[in-house]
Amino acid sequence: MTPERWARIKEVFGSALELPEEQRAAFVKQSCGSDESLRRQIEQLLEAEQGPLENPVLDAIAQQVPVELARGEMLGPYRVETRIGQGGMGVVYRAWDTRLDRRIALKVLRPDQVNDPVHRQRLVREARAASALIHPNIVTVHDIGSDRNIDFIAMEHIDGRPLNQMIPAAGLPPKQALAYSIQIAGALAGAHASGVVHRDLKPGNVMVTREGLVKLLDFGLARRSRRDADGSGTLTLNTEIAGTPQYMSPEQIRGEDIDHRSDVFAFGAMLYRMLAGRDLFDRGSAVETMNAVLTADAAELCQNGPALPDALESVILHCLEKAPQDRFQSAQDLGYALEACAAPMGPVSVPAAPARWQRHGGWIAAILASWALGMLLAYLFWGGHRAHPSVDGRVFSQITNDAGAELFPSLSPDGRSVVFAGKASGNWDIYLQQVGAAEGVNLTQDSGADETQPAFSPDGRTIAFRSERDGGGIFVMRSDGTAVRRVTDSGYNPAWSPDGRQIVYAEESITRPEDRSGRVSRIWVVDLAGGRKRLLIKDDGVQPQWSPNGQFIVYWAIDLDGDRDLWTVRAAGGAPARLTRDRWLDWNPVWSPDGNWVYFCSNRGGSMGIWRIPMKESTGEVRGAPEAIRAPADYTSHLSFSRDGRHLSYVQQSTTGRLDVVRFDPAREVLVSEPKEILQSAKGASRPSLSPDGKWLAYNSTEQEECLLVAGADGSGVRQLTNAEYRSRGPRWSPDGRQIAFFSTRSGEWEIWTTDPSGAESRQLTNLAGNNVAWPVWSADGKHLAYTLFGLNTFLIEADKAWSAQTPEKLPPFPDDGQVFSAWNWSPDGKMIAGFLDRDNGIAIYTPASRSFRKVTERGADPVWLSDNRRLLYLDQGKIHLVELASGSTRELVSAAPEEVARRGFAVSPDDSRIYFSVSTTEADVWTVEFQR
Amino acid sequence: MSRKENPMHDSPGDVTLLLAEMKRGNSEALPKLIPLVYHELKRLAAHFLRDEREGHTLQPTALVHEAYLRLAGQKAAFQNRAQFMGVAAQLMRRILVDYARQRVTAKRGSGERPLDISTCEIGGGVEQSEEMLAVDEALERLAAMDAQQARVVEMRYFGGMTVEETADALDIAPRTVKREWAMAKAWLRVEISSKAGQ
Repeated sequence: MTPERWARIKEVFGSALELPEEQRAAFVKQSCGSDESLRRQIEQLLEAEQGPLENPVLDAIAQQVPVELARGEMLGPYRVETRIGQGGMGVVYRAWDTRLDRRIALKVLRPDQVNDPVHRQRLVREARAASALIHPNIVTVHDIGSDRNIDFIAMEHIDGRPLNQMIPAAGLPPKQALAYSIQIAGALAGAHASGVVHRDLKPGNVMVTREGLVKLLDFGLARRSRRDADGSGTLTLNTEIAGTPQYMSPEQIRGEDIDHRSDVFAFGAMLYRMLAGRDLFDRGSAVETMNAVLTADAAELCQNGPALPDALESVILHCLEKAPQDRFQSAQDLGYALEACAAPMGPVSVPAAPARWQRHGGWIAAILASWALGMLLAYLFWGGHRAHPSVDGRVFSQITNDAGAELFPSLSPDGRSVVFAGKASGNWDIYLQQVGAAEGVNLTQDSGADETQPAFSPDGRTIAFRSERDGGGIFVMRSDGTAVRRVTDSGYNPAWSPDGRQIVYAEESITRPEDRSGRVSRIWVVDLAGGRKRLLIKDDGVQPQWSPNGQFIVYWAIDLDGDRDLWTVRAAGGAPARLTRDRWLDWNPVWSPDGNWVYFCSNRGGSMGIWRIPMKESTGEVRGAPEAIRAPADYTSHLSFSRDGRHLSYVQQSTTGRLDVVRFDPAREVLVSEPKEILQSAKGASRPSLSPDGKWLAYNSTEQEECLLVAGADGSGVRQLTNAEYRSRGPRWSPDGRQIAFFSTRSGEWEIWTTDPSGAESRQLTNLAGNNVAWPVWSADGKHLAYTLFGLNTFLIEADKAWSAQTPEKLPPFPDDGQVFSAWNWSPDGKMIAGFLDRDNGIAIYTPASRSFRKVTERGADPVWLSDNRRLLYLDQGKIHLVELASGSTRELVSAAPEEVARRGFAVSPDDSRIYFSVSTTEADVWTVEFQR
Repeated sequence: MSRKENPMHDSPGDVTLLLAEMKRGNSEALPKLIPLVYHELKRLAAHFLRDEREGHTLQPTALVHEAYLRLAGQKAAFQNRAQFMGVAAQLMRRILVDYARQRVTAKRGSGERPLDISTCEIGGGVEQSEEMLAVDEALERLAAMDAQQARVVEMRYFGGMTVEETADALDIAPRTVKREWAMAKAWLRVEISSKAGQ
């Protein structure tokens, strides 16, 4: 089309649009004269003019999938060098870590291994657990990640050969077999201690270096992997059973739950192979081999094979007992037995540590020590003791033990006392407590405002902290709580410069990193003397901390890809540099006083644990990969060192969700009872929905895994409705009580589902494949469901139709520009749908009959009708409010102070007499560990 | 984009100055402004993707406004705001189209999302992404015939700007914006549906 013609169309179209609709056709006809095609074009435009375009919404993810990786190709920070193998999980490449300048092995997962979301989640969980294993005989998993839609595992590169290629036909000499197997048993003992079972132990998964050092591969990754095609005479099974039949335990073959003793069986089979040069149970075909594992008498088979040393044979047979309880009960016991076998043979050459170890003896010792520390910590927490003189020169102390949260500990330079924020007085105050004392002293008792995030100055005489008093800001006071003065009028998480003259702080407060809002936070440095401020980080940064030499600030940030990683910047300013780059959440960095490490919190081990990364303090450069300091168990955060580096304090957190009920008199609009707890769960309990008869409560677990549960309205008889392998949210009971609607990632993307109340029969209602559907809402007659497409609008569908037969009806756009209406509750008379606007920007009502909206409040969300169709309860700032539609008057009804009612967290019984609401409480205690030298 | 490529500027005042220069007709201001604004929008988009508390949407309007406040400063005069938003809308288009293209390619390529442990829940699926790409393409064709109308679409559709904001930024009457927008919408609808029908 020429611009001239366009101009003509525009002119006629524009004029036609000014006219009343009924006159347009005639006008266009007249204007176009004999130009039929012009007329058709304009008519077409006029016809299409009705109705708005969608607002585009941003979409997170992702990219294309190349099939093979070529040399030089980048995957995340890794540059592919050459293909070195193919395993059941996918192809393995040798690659170069461009970030840390080291060689790694990159295992690229086969798409069919990961394209089933359920399977993939499981795989990820296992891989995360395995990645936390640090042991000299276990291949270290550095990174589990994804780039360009390719999932990969980056791990230590081993220059060696798989054991199956090293066993001669006549078997290995017993001494050599022992040298290997003692190391393997050690690796298993380490892994089992942290709850990781290998599941596919076989010679192909054992690498041996030239020095004779053994490294176990693929911990925990074999679980339910569908195939195993490593070409070592093993086979493919189409079932959920996985493994290599020659080395599978009877319970594994039967598809039963397996534990660490299954690895003990595999170990026995493998040791036999090492000594005899052939497999004990091998029968040529998988089925026969498995049958032999299940039924054949191992002792008899041994008799018919080559002669083995008696002691070793009895170890093997003890491993190969059919019943797990008859075998060695731990890999450690097995290790002792092997060492006993080794003793009469003279010195067994368990290899000298390879060159790298010898160079870094201290480093290895540190890892082993931190492993021990982790184990010990785990033991102590489970044991629930309070003060612990311990082995290995470390003393652990639980400093606080009050109900509720004590957060943000900061150790005094001498390590003898700790300041922290606690809520014992009803609001947040700063407490000072001697290590070993029973309780602390409230330093900010006089203030009615909240005080948090205390930090001892380097000389221990002053404490900087955040206070909400007088508009909020960072304040300092003497360590006895006197001489309080303001330093800034904004900012959070203050930290001192080593000379005590400056404080660095961020614009956003961090307690839990998951709670970061969508905002960007800057980092500032302020002079204590003059109060002069300078901007240090303008892009994004939180929780800044100084390096001991004063040259650097370490902090964490969200980068342009949305990754949360650690960064450093020169304290004087300049370009920031990365310490980590991966998908894990890395936060809360602190520099160790000797300058050699940055300790931080990360979920890279599967749960939120303490990690450290070696640093060269003089240049701010990273010296190596992150290491785990303790085994993943709980949620650890808020690290702080004493000046000599001998004491480290931290917070151990757990969150509990609770459902409360309170009685309500709808006539007088008052509560007529105290709230009463009906159930609580460490997995969280929120988004309640009452059955129409008021007898049952469906709700959601929210921590770690999200599934639906049902309990009696009194909290009794809890049962789980959906599987934790995928996430499910927002249960809503249908008006006839026969179904529960919810939304779930069961099919891979968020879709609307229903289930019967037993959880047995579920049905997928939508199939929007990636449009992120949420919050199903039943119509009063149960014939329709409303749902929200995030960022787009609310849609209506028919509850009993298949997706292919549906024509979703889209609500008209909300009149205010840029606001999206999410339906939340259909009125009992069926005439109105109450909902809320984006980011809890108020309650609105949609009337289907007139296709019109009406805004009811300027704030709040989650409106729920009372049965008179004239009043709504809704949530605002953690409290439940009531609004009367006619007058628009609102008032507060339910407060869970000092906690908040959870978002999307309340329901009303059908007769309006009870309000059920969800509250989550965080239990957090301060601990210290002392490193004695 | 790595931090190294990140254009450094010392104070929010830079953007204010550049905007004023731009309004005065200084042609060197815009090329300096674009990387600043683009970077800021991209950063904000990344943050929205990490807001895990609930499934959140990314509203271009909110993003553009927040970018303005951050770059020009809380106390900045609002006189240059329209210029800023005009620039931002163009960049927002680039960012959104990039995301959409990735999304669509991913879907067609493998039907799978990458192994991301902390699943983002950002609104907008393949359908929206495809629509966005179609609008982007159609807009290229429109710009060849009618630059002003294409700019109006860019600001309204990709920048989430109101009629008044668009009118301010282009220095034309709101009524003209409405007319341009009405026609552009109709034309886009015809273009996209005829394309979809092919």
